[in-house]
Amino acid sequence: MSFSFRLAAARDRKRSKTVVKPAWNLLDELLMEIIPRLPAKSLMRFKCVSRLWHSLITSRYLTNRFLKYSSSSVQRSRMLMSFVDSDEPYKYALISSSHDPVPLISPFYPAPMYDLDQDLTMPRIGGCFVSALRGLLCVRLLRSVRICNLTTMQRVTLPIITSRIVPENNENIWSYFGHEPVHDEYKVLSTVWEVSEEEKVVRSEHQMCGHEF
Amino acid sequence: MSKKMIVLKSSEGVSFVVEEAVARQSKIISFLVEEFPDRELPLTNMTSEILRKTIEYCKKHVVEDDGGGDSSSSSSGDLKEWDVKFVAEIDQPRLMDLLMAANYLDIPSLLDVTCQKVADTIAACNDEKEIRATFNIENDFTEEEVEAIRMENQYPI
Repeated sequence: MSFSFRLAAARDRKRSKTVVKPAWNLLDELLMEIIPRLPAKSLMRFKCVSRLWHSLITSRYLTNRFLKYSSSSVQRSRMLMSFVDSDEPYKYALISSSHDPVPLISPFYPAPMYDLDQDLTMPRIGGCFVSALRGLLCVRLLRSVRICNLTTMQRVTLPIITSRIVPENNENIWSYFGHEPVHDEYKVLSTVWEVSEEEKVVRSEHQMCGHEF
Repeated sequence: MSKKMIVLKSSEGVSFVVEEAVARQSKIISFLVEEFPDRELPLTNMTSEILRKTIEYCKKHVVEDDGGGDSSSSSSGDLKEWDVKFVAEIDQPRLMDLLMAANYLDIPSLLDVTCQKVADTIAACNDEKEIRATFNIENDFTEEEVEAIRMENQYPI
């Protein structure tokens, strides 16, 4: 942040005609302060405003700033929940809290309450639920792992899981999704395995993919 | 005990005499007062109107900090209410000037309330067109790009 402060009072006396720039020209650095204060649920609709807004909203800096703000302010926070069928991880539902807390209706529930919307369950969500954390959802469809930021709807598809020992059609894959806070990276560990009846051994391969959000 | 006063000068050359404790809520002024004591500080890019508003805010906050002592929850609640009223009474262009003044003078609490107010204004807009019109933002997307973002928003996975 730079400040153009003029101190030499006597010398600058005549130059004091400069006025603050015309209003409503949002300076970039101020936009960085303002955007994290927007309600999480409607953030994605602001992506269309301009290229600058789009790049700011989808930047890693703001994703993290946003987490900070929504956890510090009850009003702005948004709860994301996932329900997964433990036997069939292809069956899952995503639920998010409503924009504003429901007004208090009973003295027995002094905490703010939220309506829950099932608005995140989109048609044709494909894939097997891997994990959801820090507002991100990770799913795997066959050998393709995808991560989606549910606030900004950004998504990435990680490189296809490859295997030297297990054939293509083997669907024995376990994936794990986590956040590594030191480098602020999200990582997916995938394990492909098979049991060989004749040799009575289990063979497996691991693959790690990192991504910055 | 007489309180130490300092002089701030707006872009129009109008002098404002304020208590040092009031002005020191600005980190920049706090720094300058130590570096250059007993000099008036010209704020060449702030109009008298905005400077007056900024001082009004600082005065209110310094009083509360002194009087409250351990700042009980009710007084901090009152202060919050006062802040909300303070920004609600300012029209939009001036709010923007005040936001920039808070940024320029480095007054974190004023920056916070003004930023929140602008964020609320943005959130109240119905669509991106309204935001562009309100904030004078040029649309540098092509139709196809906007359509692509809309699609992205619709289907997350």
